[in-house]
Amino acid sequence: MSELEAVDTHSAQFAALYEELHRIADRELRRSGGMVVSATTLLHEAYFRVQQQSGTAFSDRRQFLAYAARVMRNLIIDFARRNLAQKRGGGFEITQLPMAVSEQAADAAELERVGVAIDALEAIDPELAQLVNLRFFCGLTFVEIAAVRGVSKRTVQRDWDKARVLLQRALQGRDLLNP
Amino acid sequence: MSTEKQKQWREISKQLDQALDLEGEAREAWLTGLEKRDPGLAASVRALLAEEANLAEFLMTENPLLEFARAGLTGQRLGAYTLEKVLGHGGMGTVWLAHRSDGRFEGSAAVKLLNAALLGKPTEQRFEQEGSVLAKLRHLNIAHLIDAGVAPGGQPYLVLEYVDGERIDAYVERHGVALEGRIALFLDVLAAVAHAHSHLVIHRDLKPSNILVTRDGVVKLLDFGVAALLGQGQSALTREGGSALTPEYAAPEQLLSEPVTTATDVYALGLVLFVLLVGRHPHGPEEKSVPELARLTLEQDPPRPSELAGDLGHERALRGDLDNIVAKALKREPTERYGTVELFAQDLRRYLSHEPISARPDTLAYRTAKFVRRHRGGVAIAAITVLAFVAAMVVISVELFEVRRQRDAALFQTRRAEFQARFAYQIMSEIGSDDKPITVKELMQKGVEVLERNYGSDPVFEIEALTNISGRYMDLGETENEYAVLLKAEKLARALGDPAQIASVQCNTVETELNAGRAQLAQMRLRDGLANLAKVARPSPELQMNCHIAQARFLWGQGDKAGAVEVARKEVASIEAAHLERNVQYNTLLSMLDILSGDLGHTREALQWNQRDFAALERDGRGATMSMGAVRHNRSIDLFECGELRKAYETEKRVADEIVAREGPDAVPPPIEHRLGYMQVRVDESADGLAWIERALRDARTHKSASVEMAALISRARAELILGMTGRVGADLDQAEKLIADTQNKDPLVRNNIAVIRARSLLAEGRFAATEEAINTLLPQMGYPAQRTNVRLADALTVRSQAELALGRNNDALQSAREALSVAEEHALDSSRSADVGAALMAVARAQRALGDVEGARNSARRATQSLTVGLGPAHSETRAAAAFQ
Repeated sequence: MSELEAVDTHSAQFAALYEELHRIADRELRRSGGMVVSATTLLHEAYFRVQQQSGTAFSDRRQFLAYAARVMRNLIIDFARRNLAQKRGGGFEITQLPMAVSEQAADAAELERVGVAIDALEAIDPELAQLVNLRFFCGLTFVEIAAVRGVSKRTVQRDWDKARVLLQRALQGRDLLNP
Repeated sequence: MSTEKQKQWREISKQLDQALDLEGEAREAWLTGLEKRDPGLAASVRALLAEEANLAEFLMTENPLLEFARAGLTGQRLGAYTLEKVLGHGGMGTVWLAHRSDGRFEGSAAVKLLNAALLGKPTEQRFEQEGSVLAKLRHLNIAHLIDAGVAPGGQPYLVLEYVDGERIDAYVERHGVALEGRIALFLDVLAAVAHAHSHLVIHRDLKPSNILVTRDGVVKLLDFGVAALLGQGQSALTREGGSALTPEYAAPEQLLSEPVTTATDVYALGLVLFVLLVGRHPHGPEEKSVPELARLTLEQDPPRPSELAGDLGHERALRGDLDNIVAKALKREPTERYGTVELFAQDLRRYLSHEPISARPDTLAYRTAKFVRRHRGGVAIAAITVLAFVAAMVVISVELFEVRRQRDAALFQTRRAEFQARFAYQIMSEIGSDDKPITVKELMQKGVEVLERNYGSDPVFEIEALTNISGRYMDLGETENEYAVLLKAEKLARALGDPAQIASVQCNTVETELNAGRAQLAQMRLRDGLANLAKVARPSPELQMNCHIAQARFLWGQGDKAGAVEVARKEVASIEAAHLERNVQYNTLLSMLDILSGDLGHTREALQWNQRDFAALERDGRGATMSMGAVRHNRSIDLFECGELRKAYETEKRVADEIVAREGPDAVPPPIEHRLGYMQVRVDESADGLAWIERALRDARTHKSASVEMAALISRARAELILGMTGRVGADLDQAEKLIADTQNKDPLVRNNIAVIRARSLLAEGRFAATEEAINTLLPQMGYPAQRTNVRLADALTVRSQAELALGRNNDALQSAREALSVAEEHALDSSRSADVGAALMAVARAQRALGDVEGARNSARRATQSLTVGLGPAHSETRAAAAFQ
């Protein structure tokens, strides 16, 4: 089993990263008057900060992204929930990735449905689930994902095709393996 | 640690990888080979490949997350409609294009799915109620509501007319519509908004993207009422969020989280007109940050349209009347804008027919002075709350309506609903006829007038409406008007001879009589009310509640608090048995039990009732209403009696701050004002608190509320004592006692309170023997030593200990202090947080030191420091004295 499969969401690393991203996002939101936060800022800053903290350091950027993918997903869903519970129309956007929450965006209930589908995928293939998280919540392109994972772009595309089929099954409420 | 499924998938996945790299015949040949080796595996791979081939562009878009999030709903049926594709998204949810799927009619509709995360269960019910209000909006220029419902998943939705059109600003640019044509289109927008306003619906989110023009050139307002759909709850959410809906089109009051009225819509309309006339937003075209937009909106008058004109001819056309019209709509001060949308329209029509318009330019100095004045003193609050009031009254009517559903025939109900809508409309149309600001009082007088003139044929409705209005007067502290309206209702009820109506009016009047200090009349009315209630064959739960609450209130007023608790407890039980917890009276009873338990010295029980009250309100989605303010006010009192003074002060302060933010400084009720003032003096040791108490006294006198005046006088006496203004304490207490006599107030707690303050005053004057005597007279009145529940007991014993110590009777002083400590501990939630415990401990410490027990004294002082640090705050002089004592 590869290290990518095991993202322990209860680990200190996960918690530290989550907290860090949350803090940065909050600050960015305040700075911009509550509207825009850049995902790139989030990821880069969080990477450097978490690296500086002893005890929560990641062995490399690849391992960091394994966590970041999962953390970003929780973060975005939490923000959507919090934000929509607070006000209407205000909200924030995460820019520079094809993902925007709120104004143009998915509501928390929709995002939670997404979460359920990815969980189902994760139960049979954690690597595919991670790929989906990177694509959905971190906005990484196939090329970037390939670089991070140290595989070819073709492999990422093939994995994406597999993930698409399984996600559609999840969406239709079918069993992923025995539809 | 792989599961069985993971293993199974890994095998499939491996084969799939190979198959995906092959195409056409090669793939087929490979699959045939696999079939021979493992038919089951091959079937799984084949199925996946087939599905993969049909995926097309699924999740291949720029934003796969959004695509995926919504994909699940395509094809879903909601009522008679099937969702087809997403048209757009808003903070409230998603709008879908849908078509009728029942085959009976052809046609498309826009289905608005409300954000499920935003809506709790109570909100859904309100949503349904509001849906019926919206259904009344029928106007050519409004995309009308077709249907509303709740999806199987619990998500509420609205079915709206589908408008295939273009944004109004884009439309006029693309078609090169001339100035007059643009104004004509805008007049249609105004007509639509005026229609909605006359139905008490405020849009609150008007902007070009919500105004479309169809291919036939017909203006259609979208999103209408969706802003009002969530009514009070939504405005509260917006307030908490502290930001406006659409910053570019938000009025100053929205940015300041002040009440939203029809004038808010006028402001947004002014901006839309600006955009139509000039082709760009006054603060555009470059994008601005939200803080920047807010600053521009709040601090600067927008430029005049002519200043941004493209060329000389354009500038000349805009300069003058159109500049003035836009400027009037865009006044930062809501009351200075057009009073109604109709007046706005009139001016534009006058402009088109070259008649003089009403909007006049004014000087910058004048404008600025006005704006500053308002934000300093909150002068124009009354006018702003007018519409909030009308809306609130409609909601109240709807609530009443709700309760009666169970017993009234459907036909009767429909008639009633029409009456209510017409009633509200008539009030609106009469006050909307000139552009002077209207006070709440005028509005209610108008309501009474309209009732008398138009509803004489329906006395039952008239009685109920009058009772409603009396309740609003009560909220405002307009005691005399409240009484006058109730007398009118009583007369009607007697003429009608209907025991249910008589009981209702009589029971409703009990509290009014009590508040006015007329206990005997209250008793008469209660007896009559209960007797008439007994005559009703099947009294409504509402009526029973009203009468039992009146009964409990009366007993309370007579000083029989235990009796009041019994009646209230029984009624709470029967409400719960009948599952009528959603009725507001349920909360009234819980509040009553909260206060009474506190008065009876059952401080912890009081807090429990308070928590139930709080939870019930939250469950009903009334978490941000005045009722919630009242519950928090009560919590503050409970906390105070538990000795947690700082927390009590902060809780009360929050209540006041919220009211000020919502309705202005004049809206804080006097009971909150004087308590807040006293606590500010007590906790912050600041004389500033006196100003709050003075306000409370002034308000109480204006409204002739003797009981509030008495309470405020007691608060002032306590505050003066703390501030060392001992000379004035006696006079305030004398005056309070006079009011107690005048109003025949039999509440022993009030007298106990006054006695303790007098004793403290004697102590401050150094008259120690007199102090001790005063306390010794008081203690038996408190039932001491048999009873130890009186909330002033610990205080009284602490005072005695101080007097005894001063008289050199150290042993007695220690005993009194220990007794005070044990009583204070019984009342505290947590001794280490109670200032009362802290004060008693300090009395213990002083007595111990006087007796030479240095170590014991130090220990007591250490514990006192801890309790006082939380109970009063670390910077409080008592806390510092305790720390220094160690």
